[in-house]
Amino acid sequence: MNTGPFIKQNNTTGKMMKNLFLALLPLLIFTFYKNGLLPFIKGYATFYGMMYPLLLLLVGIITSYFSEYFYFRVLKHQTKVEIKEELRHSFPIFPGLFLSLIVPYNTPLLLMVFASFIATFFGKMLYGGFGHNLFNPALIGCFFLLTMYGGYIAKMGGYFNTLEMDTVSFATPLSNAQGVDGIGSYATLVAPYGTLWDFFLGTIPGALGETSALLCLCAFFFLSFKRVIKWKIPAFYIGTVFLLTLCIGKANGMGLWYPCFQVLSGGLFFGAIFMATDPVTSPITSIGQVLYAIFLGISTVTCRYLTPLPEGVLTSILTLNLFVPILDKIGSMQGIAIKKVAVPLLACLFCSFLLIQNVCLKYAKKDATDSNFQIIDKKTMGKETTYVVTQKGNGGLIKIEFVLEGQKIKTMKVLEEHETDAYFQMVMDAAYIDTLLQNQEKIEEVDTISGATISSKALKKSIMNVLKEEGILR
Amino acid sequence: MIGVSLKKKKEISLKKVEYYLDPSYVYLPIAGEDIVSITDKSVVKEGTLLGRKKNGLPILSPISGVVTWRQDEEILQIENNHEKKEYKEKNTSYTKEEFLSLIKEAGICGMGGAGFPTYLKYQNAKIHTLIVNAVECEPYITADFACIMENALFIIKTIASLMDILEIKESFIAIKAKEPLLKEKLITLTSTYPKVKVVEVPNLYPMGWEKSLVRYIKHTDYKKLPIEKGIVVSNISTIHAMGEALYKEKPLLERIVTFSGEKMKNPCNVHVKIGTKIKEILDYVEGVEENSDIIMGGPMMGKIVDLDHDVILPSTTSILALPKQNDQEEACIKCGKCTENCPSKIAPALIRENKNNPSALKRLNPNACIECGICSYICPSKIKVRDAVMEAKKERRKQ
Repeated sequence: MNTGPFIKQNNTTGKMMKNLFLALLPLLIFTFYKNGLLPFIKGYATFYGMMYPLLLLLVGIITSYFSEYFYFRVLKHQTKVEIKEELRHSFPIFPGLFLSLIVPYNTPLLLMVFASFIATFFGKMLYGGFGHNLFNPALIGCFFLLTMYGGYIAKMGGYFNTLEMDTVSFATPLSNAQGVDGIGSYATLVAPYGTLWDFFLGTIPGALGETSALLCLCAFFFLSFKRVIKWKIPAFYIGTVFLLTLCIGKANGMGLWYPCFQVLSGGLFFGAIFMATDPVTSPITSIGQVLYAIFLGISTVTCRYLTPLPEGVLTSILTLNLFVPILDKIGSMQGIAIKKVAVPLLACLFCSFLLIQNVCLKYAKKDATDSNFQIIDKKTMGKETTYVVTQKGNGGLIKIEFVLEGQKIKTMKVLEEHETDAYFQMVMDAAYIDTLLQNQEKIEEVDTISGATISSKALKKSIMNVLKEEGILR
Repeated sequence: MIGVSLKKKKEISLKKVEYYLDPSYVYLPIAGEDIVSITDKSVVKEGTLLGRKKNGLPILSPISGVVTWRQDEEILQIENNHEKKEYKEKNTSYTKEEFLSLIKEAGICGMGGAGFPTYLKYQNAKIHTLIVNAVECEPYITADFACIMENALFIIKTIASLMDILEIKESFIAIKAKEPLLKEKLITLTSTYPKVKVVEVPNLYPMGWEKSLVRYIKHTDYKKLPIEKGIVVSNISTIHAMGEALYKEKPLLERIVTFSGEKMKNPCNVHVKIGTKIKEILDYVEGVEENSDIIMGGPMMGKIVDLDHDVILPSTTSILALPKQNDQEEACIKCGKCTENCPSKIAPALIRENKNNPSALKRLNPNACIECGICSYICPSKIKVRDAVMEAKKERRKQ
């Protein structure tokens, strides 16, 4: 018997999912434009290359769909009619759809099938299907893909589409930033990719569909207005990352551009708005949501500065998914609101404080010894000392041979380098090595070459490091 | 303010007012511990004392006729002999004690849905504020509205007398926002009573809940009952009934009930005797269309009517005929809407998840639930969340 209420709100789970798909549509179009159409128009991609992002999307969705079909058919022995009904309530395309937006451009189709199967079958169906999974399925798929085949994909070209591979890029903004431990100047961090405006629009290298903060922001307002997502999560998540990186930036003498750079890169907007708000894997209670978001922010910043994971969004969300039941427990405690929030909030503050301090300490140590510098070989023959060293540049290690006589460097020869050709050519064209050697007594005053800052700086640093090693420079 | 905005749908039943004050039978349900003091087959007059309920209220005969006590069905049946009784307006002044016994003997109880004995509410300590609840926040219902439209001046007079007798300092008539007709009428009539104010409250459900009203009007919170803060909240129809007792010594024997809903053939407000079978009145108002749910009370908190047995009670505000629902329950996606909109600030989705887990239930406090039904109303997966919370409540009481 019906026990009421006898009126129901004109909203269904299906409608919410439809709105979610609508919000994703501009991102899908942008993905196709940025990674397919634009390289094709500029002549960097073949027709196949142009269609490749769509192909990945299609493969992801189809695999996802059939994984669920497979689950109901083989494991649950259901009839076709039953399966049709099940799939209508289970929204089988979403894990594959989300997954295809967060994988690197150069993911082979076969690996996409693999990842999408993992996402849907293991990440969602084995937990009991729609509404029962503990972790975000798409992130599980991406996690498996990147840990098992990340190196292989990187060899295939990683995150760069054909246009980016040929023009601007050597690393995604955050892996580039990690080269200098996340702390550098506007010129080293932002300038190689354009301006912050490009970061906001999303015309920077990154995973297929997650680069455009602008479109994610539009989706955020649309979905919040339609009450599809829990708006508190993205707001507090992005806010926390902004505040923490603002503090770290200020402590290292950087301006407002720095937190903006951190917030706009690494798919944070996409992760915060679409992944962290996945209703099934995020807290129900309001306080739980706020705590979840703050801890997500702390975890992301920790990953970026103190672990080898440059982006940190994926890892953070998967980690925090695990704590959702506990956060909801805190959120549902009865009693005075202040009391129940105070402890976790203090924990948040404490973690943030530790994090900022750690990052600053790590950077402070950097000045004393340059970890990007390494001596491979040192020989002394008569008056001459020969050093073979490596110094980290833009595209990996630069191998350099130095010959010293007395208190002076006589010759300097680059043995091996992986810098972007155009930039390194600029360095060589300017006879920069000669300039450096001629001014080695006052090496610190020598300017780097604008436009090839990182490469030229690496050469300058290598000289300083060798001179320090010999005790000539302090 | 926490709540949801519902479509009012009040206009449906506002077209006309009907009278059905001469039913052939009335039936008064008698619960186990109630005392019946009348002998079987005796002839009674309208207003005759038939017994007394557990909570101290008298059982009064709504009509004149012959009483049959059908013990097996636990009802008193009275066959109407169509004898009328006239009530004349008197003007007497009462002390607080006289007043309390008067409203007790008039059988007055809350007419907004709860049915709590009114004399118990007013016998408590010192009252300084009276809030008259005319919000009717559930859709479709216009019984209070009709009552005000007919008796506005009388009601305000009653409020003034109550304030005199009980030494109440100020009183508020709470009405829904955007009801210009009601607002204008009440404001003009209260202009000569400076201590009676008309307040508009937001058009939200459950704004008519005592706690919401006290919070909105007096900006204060209480634990169990508003009397803790010296506040009393009464439904406006109850106030009207108190006025009838005060000025005419007429007990609570009839009320206005809204017959409405999309499936009601002839929606209207009807004056009916307490104890009239719902089926009898439905036949009188031309009945309902096929394939409908007949509900007693509002669409949010009401219950399905048992046409063979259910009768009009003092707390029956409306009888609705609504289209049958056939929504399928889907999996909970943990969207958190039920928790976000819960006026009691509990987490219905978590309570549902843990309804067999005693230690979790202790923390989740399902007993705070007021059964307003917002959680079930708002659930995009069409889950009967309130039913689960009510089960958890029972589970909690067992412990």
